[in-house]
Amino acid sequence: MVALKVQPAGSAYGVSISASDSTKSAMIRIAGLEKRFKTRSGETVNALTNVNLDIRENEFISVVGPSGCGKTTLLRILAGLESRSSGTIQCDGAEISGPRPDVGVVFQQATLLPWNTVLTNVLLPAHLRNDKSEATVKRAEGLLAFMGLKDFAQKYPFELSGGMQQRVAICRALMREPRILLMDEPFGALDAMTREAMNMELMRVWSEERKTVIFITHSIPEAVLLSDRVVVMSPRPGRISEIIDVDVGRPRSLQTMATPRFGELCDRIRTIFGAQSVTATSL
Amino acid sequence: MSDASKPAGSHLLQSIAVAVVVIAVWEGTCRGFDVSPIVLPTPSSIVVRLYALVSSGMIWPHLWATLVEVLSGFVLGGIAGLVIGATISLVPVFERLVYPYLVALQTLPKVAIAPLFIIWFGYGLTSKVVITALVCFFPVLVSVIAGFHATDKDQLDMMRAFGATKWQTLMRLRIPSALVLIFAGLEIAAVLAVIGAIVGEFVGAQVGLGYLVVTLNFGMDVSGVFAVLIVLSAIGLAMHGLMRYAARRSIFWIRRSDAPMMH
Repeated sequence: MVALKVQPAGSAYGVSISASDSTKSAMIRIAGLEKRFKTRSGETVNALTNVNLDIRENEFISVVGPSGCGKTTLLRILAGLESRSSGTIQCDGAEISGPRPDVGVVFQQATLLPWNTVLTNVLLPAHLRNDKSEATVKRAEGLLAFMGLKDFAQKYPFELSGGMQQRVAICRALMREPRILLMDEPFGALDAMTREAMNMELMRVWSEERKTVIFITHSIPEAVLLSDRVVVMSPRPGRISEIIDVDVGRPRSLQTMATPRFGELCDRIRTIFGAQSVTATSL
Repeated sequence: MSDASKPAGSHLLQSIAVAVVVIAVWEGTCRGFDVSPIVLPTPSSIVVRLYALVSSGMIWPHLWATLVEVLSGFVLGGIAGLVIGATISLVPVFERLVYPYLVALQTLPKVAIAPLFIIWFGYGLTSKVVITALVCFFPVLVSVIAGFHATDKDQLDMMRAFGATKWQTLMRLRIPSALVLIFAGLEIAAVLAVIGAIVGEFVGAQVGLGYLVVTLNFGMDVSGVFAVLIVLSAIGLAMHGLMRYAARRSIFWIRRSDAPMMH
């Protein structure tokens, strides 16, 4: 019953957000974003409908939602890997039309090149720009040291654990000194313990090198722990159900997860999902 | 493969023991039942015959001819397979225009074309090299095309997200990932090369181990035939071992990983 009270007010809520006056400080503006796919059988699938979201500089935004809600599609469009069907998606007032140099991406798989050493993998973005300077190598080594991988620079990815591989991938994304970090369920393949350690690591990185982070995840606690705001999405059609402010002070730690406010926020997001499944079954 | 680290020595010993038993049974059966050496020669007589073929120097010109055919056929067929496979994979127009014909040609039993090649290229070395090259060509071609198709989609996205050009993606990602399957194709081709050369020699030749087999068979020298077969399988094993070694050096990341990247 409680669940039914939460309005999954998708579009209406979204519109009110973009109309609200956070416009000045918005770094990324997503307005009326739509993405339609054609399936093999010829029917059209709405991966994203009427997505409106403003993201401030240095904000940590998480996007949660069940599979098929379009969260990965949203991130791929932000990364310039996917085109949109309609709507606008701007960064500093300029349309995002392809991969940008000031964006770093971390994927669900570490996607390291197995024939290159850890150091060469981290240097990849620099090598792609034909930057082979000594300073760049120093910076890569610095990043590896920062991530606790100092002794692994000359190892190959297959000699590393899954968590270490993902840390290398984060170093590689930071190598371009991006202003925006896009992360697509980066810790989804890791076990729970490693995942928590990586969450702490990521918070440390974010507090030292301030960046705008858009973080896709399945995990509600992970989203609440890391974020300033949590975007809750729902599927069929993929849309934003609600955007939740995480009014929990920083710095946060694993103990934060034991506080009542943390639990309330997690519950609230769960309730939104619950309301969705009620709607789904009643249809 | 997985538990090969510790008991490798005992595995080897077991294999040798099996061989010793088989040879002993073979020798015993031939002697015990007085099997005619024209039907099945004893292992000892084969060894004696092999020694005679080597010490008399009779085998060397044949061995040399076959080796040249196998190696040059393998190299030529391999290069053709690599070049054409890469072209088909990287130039979509080519895939549409050429690939159907190559598939059609592939279904043709190469042995059946061998007599034609003897007419076109004569009884000498050339026809055998061409047949061997053709036999080697297809597995390499198919593996190159499969290799380029097998590039990990996530890694392609990663390269794109980091602003790689088409050329950079090719050099840094697509070619190295294709290598895994290309080496599998080269390994098959290396073994097929020996078959190609022998088939060519069967159809028409004046020299070579295939020619020697036919000649010895004609003279009912069955232990001699067996002796040549030993040499042939040694060549096959050597070719295979060479490719294995090259693969281990080149695609070192496959062997040791349980492949977190290659699923």
